[in-house]
Amino acid sequence: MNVDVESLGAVSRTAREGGERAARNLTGMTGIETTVEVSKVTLASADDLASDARRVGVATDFEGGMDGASLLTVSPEGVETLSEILLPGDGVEEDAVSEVGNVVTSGFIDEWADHLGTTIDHSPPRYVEGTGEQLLDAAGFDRDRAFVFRTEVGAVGESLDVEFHLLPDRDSLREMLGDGEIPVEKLTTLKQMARTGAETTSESVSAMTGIDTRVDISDLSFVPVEDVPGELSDREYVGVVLEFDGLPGGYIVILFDEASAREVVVALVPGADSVEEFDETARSAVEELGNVMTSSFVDGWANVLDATIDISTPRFVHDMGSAVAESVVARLGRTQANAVLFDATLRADDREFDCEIYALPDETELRAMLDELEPGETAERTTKSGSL
Amino acid sequence: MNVTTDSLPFADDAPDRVKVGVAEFAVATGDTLLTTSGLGSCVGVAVADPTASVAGLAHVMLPELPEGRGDPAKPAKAAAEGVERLLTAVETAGGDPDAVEAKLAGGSRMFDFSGVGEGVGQRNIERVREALADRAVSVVGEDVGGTYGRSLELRPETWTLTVTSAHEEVVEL
Repeated sequence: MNVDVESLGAVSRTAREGGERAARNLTGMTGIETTVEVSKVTLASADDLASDARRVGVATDFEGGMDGASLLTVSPEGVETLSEILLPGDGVEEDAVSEVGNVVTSGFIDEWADHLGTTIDHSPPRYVEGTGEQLLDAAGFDRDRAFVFRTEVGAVGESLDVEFHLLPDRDSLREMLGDGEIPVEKLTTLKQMARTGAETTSESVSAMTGIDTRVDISDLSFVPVEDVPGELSDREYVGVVLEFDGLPGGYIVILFDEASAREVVVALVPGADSVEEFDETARSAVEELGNVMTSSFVDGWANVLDATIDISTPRFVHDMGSAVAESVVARLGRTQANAVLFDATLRADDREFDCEIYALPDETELRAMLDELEPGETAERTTKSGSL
Repeated sequence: MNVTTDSLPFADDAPDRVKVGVAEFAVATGDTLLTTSGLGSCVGVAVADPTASVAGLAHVMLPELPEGRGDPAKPAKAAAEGVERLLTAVETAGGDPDAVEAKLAGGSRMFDFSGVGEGVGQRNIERVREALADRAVSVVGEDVGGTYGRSLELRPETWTLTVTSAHEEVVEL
């Protein structure tokens, strides 16, 4: 299958509209104000989609104008919220989840049916529960599917988060996306390169700070530029923004939540026991770490591509995450409507730790890079040079 | 209380607050709050007919669209189109075009790099001001520029725009 970034962006818009319709259905049922927090088209990989957290929800199969499956899940806290509102009493959580799951799923599917100008029938929802992998299996997730549409709906002032995966089968995807210039296999290679870069970055963080980090989630997704800031909350983050130049050019954003940033500074600055303010010393420490992390992330790419990628000096930021992201995509948005977004989350097993890494390449330059890239190139390099 | 946006139908039971996303706008009356968050280089454009308690808020992202790539679902992505649509919607909701005035916030420069994206915040502000001037709407208050992000809350009833940020004092416009 061949795709292009434009058509991926277009289906991403429909997915967002589906999310908004689903959110309205959820609000209509519960009276809770809800909002679409994340909506993106992601290159599918079961490993990356599966998180360890246990959730409950419903799975459906659908057919008609589009064939595939869907999975809608809620966290245990969200289930409590729903049960309290809809069906007060014990032992009815499953009913509450099934009822909400059915109505909200219909919102998504109906929007797609309207968009495609056709009808889509969906099966009665099946109640499912378990970890990410178990849930995907329960939804009949076929590892061969190329793209997954992922939407998160959150509630304002209530503990309720709804995650929806739309999993169209390959033929439906091909119909939706048309025939573009980029073979999906090359995107898979790109994603592996980025994943490897994120793992090297994680090793650098561990080596420099002594905090044992690992890559928890990584995604390659395709979103309209204006939807990128929604990936981050309005909470304050501490980190750096860097520009990279080469083939491709673009931006790297590395953001720690405030508590993690404090830990990192304590680990890096000799004699620092605690961090009250992010003063010059603390800023320099974050910039230095950001610099090393970015080099770690990009060097693997440069090796595979046999090219040089220059990175700028890091710019320190300590502000609302969404405002930082918005200022980056406003730059990209001057020349492109859709963004190719790689994101990874670093976590630690032995403590609360959260570091988000975002790479946003220039779309035109990325396309030029993909022209040069041989599918599977990363895998070969990894084998030749041993573990990266 | 009525609330309209391009993507939402008229709601009989207006919510207490309406969140305006990036490149979107919404109009509300009375005590319904309009909010938007995470303004970096983007500009929040608030307009109102104070006598009619009708107000609108747009989250403008770009000085102009790349090569005319408009998106009907994102009416406030660029300055001129966003301001135009916002003013029209406020009039439709009962605002008198001659009484409408504006307040602006945002357009910051959160970090410096060279290249095509440089100064996008400043250019956003300039284009928004031009678009408002073209429609003879005066800007009666603003909190723009700087190097930090902002969140906004607009109350149509009192025509108050509250600007909050991570490290600065709250500003009431």
